Formats: sequence, C-alpha cells, structure tokens
Amino acid sequence: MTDATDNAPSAPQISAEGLFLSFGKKEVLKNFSLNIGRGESVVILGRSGCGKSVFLKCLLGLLRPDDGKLFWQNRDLLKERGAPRELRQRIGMLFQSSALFDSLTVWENVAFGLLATKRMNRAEAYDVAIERLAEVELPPETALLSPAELSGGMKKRVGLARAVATRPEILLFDEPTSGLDPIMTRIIDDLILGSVKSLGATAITVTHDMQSAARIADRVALLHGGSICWQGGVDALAAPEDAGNPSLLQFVRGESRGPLALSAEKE
Amino acid sequence: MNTATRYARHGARFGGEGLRLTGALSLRFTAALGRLTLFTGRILSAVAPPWYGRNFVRQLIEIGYFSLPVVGMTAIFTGMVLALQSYTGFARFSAESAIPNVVVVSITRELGPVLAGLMVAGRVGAAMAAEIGTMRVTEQIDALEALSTDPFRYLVLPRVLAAVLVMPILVFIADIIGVMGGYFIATQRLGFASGSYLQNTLDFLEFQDVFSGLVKAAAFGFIIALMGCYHGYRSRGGAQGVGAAATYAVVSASILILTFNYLITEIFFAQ
Repeated sequence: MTDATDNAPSAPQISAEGLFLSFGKKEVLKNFSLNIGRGESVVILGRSGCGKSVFLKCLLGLLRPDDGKLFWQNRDLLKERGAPRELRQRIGMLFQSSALFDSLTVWENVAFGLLATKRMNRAEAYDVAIERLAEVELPPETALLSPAELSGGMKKRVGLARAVATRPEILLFDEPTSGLDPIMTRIIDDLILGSVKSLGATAITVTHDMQSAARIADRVALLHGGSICWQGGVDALAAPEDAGNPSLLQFVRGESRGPLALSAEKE
Repeated sequence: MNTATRYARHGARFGGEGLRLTGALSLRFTAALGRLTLFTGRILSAVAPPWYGRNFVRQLIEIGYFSLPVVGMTAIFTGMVLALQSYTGFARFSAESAIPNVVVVSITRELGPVLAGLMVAGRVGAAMAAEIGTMRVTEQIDALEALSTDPFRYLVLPRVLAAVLVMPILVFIADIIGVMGGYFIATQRLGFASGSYLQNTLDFLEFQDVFSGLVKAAAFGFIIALMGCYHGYRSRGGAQGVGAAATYAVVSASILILTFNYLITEIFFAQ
C-alpha cells in the first residue's frame, strides 16, 4: 500500500493539511491532506459525493473548512486576509455543469474574467475571446451565440476557454468529461492537456473517468471517507493490483463489493 | 385514573408541546430575520466600485419598462372602478361631488403604490428569484466568485438599486393613469364636466399625498428586490428549489408590502 505522503513534491504549490469539513452531521472532509507541486497535474478520483468537488471549492474560497490548514505558496489561505482573493485571480476553473452565464453571449462568457478583473476594454476582450475560442477549436461564429444554443461538448469547450482566458497559474477541472460521448471526452482531454502544457499551469482534476484520468494525470489520488486513502503514479491505474491498495483495486475494476462499497453502506 | 387527572395530564402535555412549538417557531423566525439582516448588510457593503452599469440598465428596463403594461392596466381599471363605486356609494347621501377628491387621494396615497407594488412583486420578484435561483443551482454564482466577481455587486446590487429607483417612476405613471381612469368614467359615464373634474382633482391634491406614495414605492421596490434576490440566492435542490424560491419571494414581498404600507402611512399621516 502506498503511503498517502509518497510521491508528494518537495516544494508544494498547494498544500492541504488535515482539513475537516462537515455539512450538518455529515463529515465530508476528514483529515484530508494533499500536496500538489508547481506544474503538476493531479487527478483526484473517488465515488460520487465523497467530497472531491468540495476540496476544489475550499481551494477557491467558496467553502471554508471547519479545521485544518490550506497553503498556497506557503501562504495560509485560512488565516491570511487577501490571500484567497489573490489566489482566486490566478485560478481558472471548469465547472462540472460548465456554469456558463445564461444572460451573456459565448464571447462575453469567455472574456468575463478579462472584463471583470483585468479591466480590459470590450473590443480588446472580444479579440482575446475569439483567440481562446480558436484554442478550443470553436469557430468565431460561435462567439455571438448564447449558451442555450450550444451542445454539451461545446459548452465544455467554452467553459475551458473561459477557464484559460486570463492565463491562470492553476487550473481546476470538476468532472470535465461527465456526460460526454467518448470522442468528445477524448477531445476535451486533449484540450486540457494542451492548455496545461502551454500555460505551464498546475492542474487539479476531479473525475470518475479512469481513461480520462490516465490521459491527463501525472499523479492520481483516491479520496475515500473524507481523506486521501491512496496516491501514486498514473501507471497504477493500468495495473492496480501492483499498488497493493484494495480501495484502488476496487475503484479501477468498478467492483460493487469492497472497502469503498462497505463504507458507502455505512453512510 | 379519574377524568380530572386525565385532563390535567393532557393539559400539561398540550401546554408543554405548545411551549415547545412556540419556542421552535420563535427560533426559526429569529434565525430567518438574522439571515435577512446579514443579507441586507452584504448588499449595503457591496455599494462600492466596480459598478456594473450594464446590469443596472438592464434591470431598469426589465423592472421599469416591461412592468409598465401590467401596472398601467391595473391602475386604469382601479381608477375606473373607484369612480364607479364611489358614485354609487356617495349618491346615497348626495356627496357625488367628492368623487374627484376621493379618486385622486385613494390612488396617490394607497392604491397606486400598493397595487403597483403587488403587481411588480408578482412579475419581477418571481423572475429575480427564479433567475438567481437557477444561477445558484447551476453553479453560475460559484463561477462568478471563481472569476473574482462579488455576486452581490454583480447580481444583487443592480437589481436593488434599479427597483428602488424605478418603482417611484412606475407609481407616478400609475397615479396619472389611475386618476385618468376615474376621470374617464366620471365624464363619460357619470355626467361630470371635464374641466371641473380636473380642477377639483388638482385643487384637492396636496404634495404630501403624492410624496408619501412615492416614498412607499421606493420602499416597496427595495422589498421586492430584496425578497427576490434573498430567496433566489438561498435556492437549493434544482428545479423544485427554484420554484419554491419564486413562490416565497412573491408571498413574502406581498406580505411585507402590506405591512410596510401601514407603517409608512402611520409615519406620514398619524397626528
């Protein structure tokens, strides 16, 4: 069994130490610890509702842990005023539902961060939005459409264009391929890989999709019972029996019986 | 156990449960009041740059311009009915000549602001709650925050400011339309002379009648936007949650409009 601190980089850009977070009586994060190095692509795997997205929201400052420490470049995000806001300006996030703003056109969605935080003028922001749309292989004609006119795959691509529009240092992907067909999944994976590489960004991805994880991850972490129960290289997904972790083995094989299922029944 | 003992025990149990229920309701009410106060505080603290002028103008059009037909229709028929009903009532003691006075005072002080407030609460309050609620459940509000944008500054403040600003204008227009509705019925149906009706109306009208109505309108605008945004922002659980938020927004805004209508009237006209 690989220890939860193995493979952690020496100087983490992001570090979570013993995070606890409960919603009422339900403990979602329970002693959650994870280090992520600069430029690293980490995929967090886990069953539905195990708290994967909750960790991303803690990082964004949308949720505040009840206890524990969360560092960004050695700055304490839970104590230092202004640090969460500064971090947020360096993060781009692709939401599970794409979360495009209905009342805005596609280009306004893509350029939102540029208009809101970089205070760019609209003409300039439009040009940048067209460039970003081209990066995710969407033609300029889509710029004036509203999100309601887009397919699921197009929405994800617009969401990705919006996430990378401000050239962030850190990219967060929440279930980037959920609900997509295998071909579109592959396209989104390639776009994510391309974006992460071209920006040199740190990427944290939350997904159930094993194939997708194998393609985009440098390192994989398995979340179970509110904490990381295993983490290691992406090769372990191809040969989970070698990792010696029953939870990983069950998750990769998709078996209904095992430590993950037992725990779920207890919930 | 005799009957008296049984009744005494039932009474004690009923008293205990009643007390518990009262306590629970008080706690829920206090918690809701606290949440609403904090929400209002966040709106006030959002009054700072950056300003989202486009959102503000959009809301002005949405709340003001698109509410004009429904407010206008409400006002004209209210004025018409008021003139007709007053005539049938006042004719019993030969006071028909007071109709212009009754119509203008009723419309400007009470019916204009209250009915416009209730109509706008139904139209705009529900729409605000549904729009913000949908944004909440589809993670659009999270996305706003992720893009370093304060949702209160971007979504809530433009709505509240637009509603406070546009409601007095709407009510002023409703006042004119309502009075003209009464004028139309009085002159075309009840045999009043056009010139003297208008003269009576203007002679009787005082500045405070209109002013108090416009102050009420601004307060109602705040209530409508506050309730719409508050319930929308707190939406949970998909379509059902959004639907419930729209309902709560309209019901709570309507009740608060009627409550504050009394309180403001008390402030203006209590001697």
